[in-house]
Parts: sequence; structure tokens; C-alpha cells
Amino acid sequence: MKRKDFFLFFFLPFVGLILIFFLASYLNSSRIQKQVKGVIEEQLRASAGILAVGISHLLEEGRPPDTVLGPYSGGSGIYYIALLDAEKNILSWSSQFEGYLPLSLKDKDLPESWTIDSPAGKILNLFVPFSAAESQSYFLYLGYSLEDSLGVIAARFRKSLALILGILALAGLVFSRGVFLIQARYLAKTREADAERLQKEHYREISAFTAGIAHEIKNPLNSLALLFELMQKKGAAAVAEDVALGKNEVQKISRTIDQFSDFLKPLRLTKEPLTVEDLIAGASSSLAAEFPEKKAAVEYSPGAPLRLAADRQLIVQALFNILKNAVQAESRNPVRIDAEKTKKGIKIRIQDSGPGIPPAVIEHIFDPFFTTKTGMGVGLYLAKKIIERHEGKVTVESRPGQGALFTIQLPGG
Amino acid sequence: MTRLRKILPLLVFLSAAHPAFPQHPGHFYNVDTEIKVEGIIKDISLEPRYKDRSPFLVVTLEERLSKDIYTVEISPSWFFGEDVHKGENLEVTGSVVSTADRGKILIARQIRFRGETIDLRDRQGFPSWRGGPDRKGRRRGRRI
Repeated sequence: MKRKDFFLFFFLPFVGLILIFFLASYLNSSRIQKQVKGVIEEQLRASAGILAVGISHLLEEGRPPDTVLGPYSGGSGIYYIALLDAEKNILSWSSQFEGYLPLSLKDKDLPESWTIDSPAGKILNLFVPFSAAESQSYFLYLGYSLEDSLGVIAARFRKSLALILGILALAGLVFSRGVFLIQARYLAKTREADAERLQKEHYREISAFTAGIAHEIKNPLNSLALLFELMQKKGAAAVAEDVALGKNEVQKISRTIDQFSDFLKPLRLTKEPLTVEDLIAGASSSLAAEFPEKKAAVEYSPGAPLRLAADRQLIVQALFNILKNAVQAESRNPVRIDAEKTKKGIKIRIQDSGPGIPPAVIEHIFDPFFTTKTGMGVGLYLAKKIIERHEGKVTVESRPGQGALFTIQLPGG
Repeated sequence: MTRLRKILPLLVFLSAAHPAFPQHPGHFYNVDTEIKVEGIIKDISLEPRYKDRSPFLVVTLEERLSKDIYTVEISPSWFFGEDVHKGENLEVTGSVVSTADRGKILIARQIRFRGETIDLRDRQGFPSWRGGPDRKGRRRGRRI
């Protein structure tokens, strides 16, 4: 999936979800605000009732009406307060704003409560009837600021909304990032698997082609070998030596073709319990036999025994092929080997200090019949095939002038 | 009980609030008694009003036709940035309060002066110098 597709299929829907949530919250906020306002109004009405009781007590005590509002004027949230008699004449009043008492008595039937908009914000007006001494009727007129209560609730709501949106956005980013990483990893593995499949197909084609050629060559070679056999028995003595030479060459070609055929055959493993030390010792002795002039071609210090189950002959063959390649690249210093146990199994590293492998070569180094020296170019191919048949992995790293490092990963340990 | 617990802090606060300031019962901006008066400025003074916050510009106005005298409360002196002179013409829209001791008091909401209209309060009597959401008590209100 491309970045653009990822954006379209994962990121945009998530952003859409957040927007829907935001829109729903926004649309719902007016309903919540209305409900909250209702609760506040109810609470303020209750407190106004209690104020009326307090004032009625003061009136019953004989306090003059123009003084009873004193303790209640200028209170927090009360913008104005007025005391009216039964005929709705104002007896006393107080306001936080100079002379501001927005009460119109033109309408005889005043509601118990109403809200007005003012430059100081929304004000809840309450008109509360009550009675005091000698059953005299009064009215208490109050203007409560709704801005403080609603403002606090609105601020809390905005804060909560911002917090939820922030958490959602963060979760979305983490989720999107996670999906993107999983997708990228999956894509990388898919590409790797595709490349491996193509390589295997390529090898199969080469194998089929080579097996066909070997078969086609082997039949006439057998006839030639028989012919040389007859000529040896019935031929003239003068050409006996030449016939023997010819027979020898034909047999050599036949052996080479047999070797080819062996490479192309699927490997059959006969696993047995082994240690890495045994395998390296086996490969080293084979190397010493191949290069008798190099007295100390390999440098290896065995540590604790590393155990694995493998086909001894094949793994020794694989190690030998890699060591041979390293020794051929390195003429003076010994090739260093070290082995260790890892989480995935056993890791064997073979490091030479030769001239290194050019980048153009390194990408084909495990290809069959690829060589920069004399020989068939199947050594490293066979080593890789053997290691992979053991469910292992072999990689090579090299920088010009800094030698090459072959890393073999095998299950076990 | 829960409701009482909620409003208890409010009541405690209210009981500790400032003492009342003496106000004439009718001395507020009564929207029901709004009138328009045009006359000549007879006197100008600065007088304390409304809890002595700041001196108010008060003018004595003689109505042009009836010759009735009105004590016109304009605004705090800091808010009204014009020089007013005796003998000038003034048109006032405001709430009238009739008192026994000081005659007719006119709380100005809007005045027309030297060809300019100056808003001092809104239609409900909210004072313009006390600001609001978008006017933080600055010298405002003038329009031509």
C-alpha cells in the first residue's frame, strides 16, 4: 500500500471520526448548556426563596424596608436586588451597576423568572413573592449573573472536549503509525519473499536446463567410453597409449557431469547431534589438505560447546566451501572464525582480511556458476543451499579493502 | 438538604457582604418613566452618586417650553469627555424620578449636544461606562 493509499484508507477516516465526534459534541453542547442552565436556574430560585425568608425575618424584627437588603446587596453573582410592596412599589434596591434595575412594571403579570441579555452577560431575573409580619405581602426582585456559573461549566466542557480530542488524536496517531509500520514490515517481507521465489524459479530453470544437458551429454559419453574400451582390447598397440588417454579424459568428463548432477539433486539430510567445534575442526582439516602450503589458514578459539542437530557431511562441506573462498581471498593472515549462541540459534562468523568483495560481485556471490576465479562457481551456491536446507541463513558483508564477513545462522544451541 | 448544602457558601458570603448604601427608593433607571426633555443648561456640578464610586457630572436643565427644572445625571466625569457650558442647549432622553426634596431627577440614557448624540446607557439602563463583553469601560458612546 502506498503512502497516499494509507492516508486515504487509515488516516482520513480517523480524522473524519474525530470531526464527527467534535461536531456531535458541538451540536450537543447547546442541549447540555440548556440543561445546565435549567439546573442553575432551579438552584438560584431556591436560594432566592431562602433570601426572601431571611428578609422576611428582618422585616418581622421591625427593621425598616430600606435597610433590610443591606446584608444581601453586593453579593457574589447578584447584580441587583430590590424589595417591593404588595402594590409593586419599590421600597429598597441595590445594584452593582449605577442605577441599573431593568424592571418594567407595565406588565401586571410578571413571570417568576426570565433571562435578559446585558453588556455584563446573561442575567437571570427572579420575582419572588413572600409575606412577612402581619401577613404583609412583598416581592423580592433579584438579578443573578448566569455568566459565572455558565462560564465555569463552559470552560470545563471545553477543557474536557480538548482533552478527549487530544487523547483521540494521540491514539489515532499511534494507531496509524502502528498500522503503517506493520504494513511497511509486511511489504518488506512480501518483497523479500517475491525476490526469493523468483530466485528459486531461476535456479530451478537453471537446474532443469543443466540436468537436461548433463543427461544428453552422458549418453554419448557412455558410448564413447565403451568405444575406447573396445579399442583398448582390439586396437593396435601403437595407439594403445592414446586410446588410454582418451578413455581417461572421457571418464574425467563423466565424473564432472556426475558432480553437476549431484549439485542439482535435492539435498537429503541425515541429521545427528553435533557440536560446532567438531564441524569447524572437520572443515579446517579438509582445508589443510586442500592448501597444504598454508600451515595456519584458520584461527579459531573454541568456547563452551555449541550443540546442534545437522548433517555432518553437508555442513562440513558448506563450511569448507566458505572457508576455501575466504582463504583464497586472504594470502597472509589466517581466516578468523568465531561462534556464539544467539536467541535464534547459533551464529558462526567467518572473517577474512582480504581486499573485500566489490558490490557488483557481492549480489551474485551465491548464484550458481558465478565465479571470479577458476572453478565452476558452485561452492558458495552449494554452501547456501546446504545451510538453507538446515533452515539456516547465510549472509555476506564486505567493504572494499576491509575483507569479507560471512555470517551463518543455524538453528540449535 | 443537598440543595441547602449547595447554597450554604453563598449565604455565608452574602451575610459577610458590604453594608447597604442609602438609595432613594425610586432613584434608579426606571424604563417605565423614560421621557425626552430639551432645554438650556442652567448649572453644572460634580456630585457623588451611587455608592460614591466617582463624581458624577450633573447639570441643571430648564425645559425650553414649560420652564420645568430637571437635575440631569449624565455619567461619571471621566467618561464624559466634553466641556459643558451654562446656557448651552441640551436634549436628554432618560428616566425621570420625582423626589420631594430635589425635584425632578433625570437619569440620562442618551443626550444630544452640539449636534452629537452620546449614548450613556443602553435601553435597559445599563451604564455604558461599566463596560461589557466588548467595551471595557472606555470612553465610548459618541455618535454623530
